[in-house]
Amino acid sequence: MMSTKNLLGKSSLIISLAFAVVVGIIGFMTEAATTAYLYAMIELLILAYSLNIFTGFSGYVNFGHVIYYGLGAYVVAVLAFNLVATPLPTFLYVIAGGVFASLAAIAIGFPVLKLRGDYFAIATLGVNEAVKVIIINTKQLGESRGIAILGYIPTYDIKGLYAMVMVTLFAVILFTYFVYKSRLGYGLRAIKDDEDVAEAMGVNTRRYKIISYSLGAFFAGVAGGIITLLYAYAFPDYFVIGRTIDMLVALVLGGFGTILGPLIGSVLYYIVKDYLLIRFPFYHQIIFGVALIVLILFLPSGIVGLINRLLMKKGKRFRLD
Amino acid sequence: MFLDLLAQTIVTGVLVGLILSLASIGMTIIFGIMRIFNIASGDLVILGCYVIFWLNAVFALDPIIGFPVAILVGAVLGAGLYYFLIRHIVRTVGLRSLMVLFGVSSILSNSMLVAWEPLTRTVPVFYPNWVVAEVVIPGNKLLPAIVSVITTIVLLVVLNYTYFGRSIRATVSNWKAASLVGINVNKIYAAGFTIGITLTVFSGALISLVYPIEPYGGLPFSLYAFTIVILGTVGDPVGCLVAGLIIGLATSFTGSYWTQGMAPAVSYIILVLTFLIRPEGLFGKRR
Repeated sequence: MMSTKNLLGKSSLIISLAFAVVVGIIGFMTEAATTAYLYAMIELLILAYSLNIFTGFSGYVNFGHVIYYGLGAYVVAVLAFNLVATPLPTFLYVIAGGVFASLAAIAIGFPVLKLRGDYFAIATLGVNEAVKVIIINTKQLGESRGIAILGYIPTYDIKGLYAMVMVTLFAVILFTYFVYKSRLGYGLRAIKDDEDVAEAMGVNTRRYKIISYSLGAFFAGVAGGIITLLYAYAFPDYFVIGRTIDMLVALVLGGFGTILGPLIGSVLYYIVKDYLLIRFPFYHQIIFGVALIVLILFLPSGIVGLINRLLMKKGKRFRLD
Repeated sequence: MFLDLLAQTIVTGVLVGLILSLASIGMTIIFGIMRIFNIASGDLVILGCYVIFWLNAVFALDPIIGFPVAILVGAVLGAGLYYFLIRHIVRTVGLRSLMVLFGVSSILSNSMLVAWEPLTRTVPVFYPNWVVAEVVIPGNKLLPAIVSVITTIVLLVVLNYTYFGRSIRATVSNWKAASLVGINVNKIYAAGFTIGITLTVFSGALISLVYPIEPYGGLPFSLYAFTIVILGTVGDPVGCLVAGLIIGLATSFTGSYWTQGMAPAVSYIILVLTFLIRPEGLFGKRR
């Protein structure tokens, strides 16, 4: 049973990568508007996967993941602004944004990850707002106006940025797979089942949590860095709580702590959201509040969990991961 | 001059703290009874603000007359939420309740955004200010603070001296034991949740006299309430009052001696520090 399951972890990975390749090719072939549409979808995918690395596997609900997205964005803006005399290739800024985000995650996670359950979730919300308010009140970061870097970076180039997010998507999918298969993944799932037991069995829960938390933050920071290059602008609204709702709904919809879940959830969520945004521009957030409640109440393990339940009913022996 | 500013800061802090503590008492009762963090608290506060604003704007009613209406709205909403939603998630494992209330928060704030436009509004009612030795005691803060204290006292009397209140406290300390001695825990859940939501909406009615209102402005109030609840030990209304004063003073001192913009951040930092240093709160016993 175990061996078939591991094999299927691989098949989930192959499905995800194949999807990424197809979407990548489509994005490069089509005109700019479609590329921009797909770009936003890939960004949501990266964010959902990066949230999944910590929240999905360990079961800790994180309402503050968007901090790292915003921090990555600000790092890129600050670097581009200050290195205007000797500009470097922009992907270096983006990587710096990711690294800074993951370092910040270690610094924030070191104290906050001592908390569990509800307390952790509330604390992440508090940290998120604290970071936002501090940035709004920092003169060097442009206060609530933000930092505009138009002219400091190469001009609007959606295909180049699309390549960047595609590379990030591949990286985050592969990382999710490796985390899932590795000792780290088993440890995190043990934490999800029962943290005290996991600790008693010799899992270094604290280290595992911090490592996965900062790994997730790295990818969120990279995604934030790339969006700054797209808008040529970093402003405090990157820390908006609505983006966290997007990620959480996508993750719950697809299935927490799986490889295929974030992919299915994000793509479905993005298409539906975009449709609703056009049809009902004022009501779509309300609809997603309802959707979150309905999903949590009736489909707690997401679409992947639903498929697995159907497979089990038919007497099939394999399960999706 | 120095003393004036100090005295003014303390007066403002105490009044604001008393007002903020009422919303936290609503939250602490709900958490104490059901172990659910009401993350939608801030949006309910904003709803209470809008009740007063619209009664004033449409019927030109004085906010004092609007207070009972806010209580009614809170009671109906609380009972409805309990019956349709919360009933199904009490005592479920994990963080389902938190995610469900996060959804409720999103629904509430966006419904208010659709209904009442993304404008910042204020209730244009000004109660006379008192001036005591050059320190201004603003009527718009004094009245809500007094109402808040009276409500808290009534609540404490009910909790301590009636059978109903005692069964609520019994459920807070141990719901299994409470049900063993014949308390209908499900009824206590329904009543406690409704009271908690009613207090939250009512505190919003009071807050409308102090702060400007906007549909998306709920999150800071949620976080203030969390801070006060955790700092004052969950499930303890008196602790909420003390912690409310601390937060009120902290924000008011930040506003006077640093910048007003940083005041929320100071409160959030207190929240995180409380979690880390003394998660059981000021008056809790160490487990």
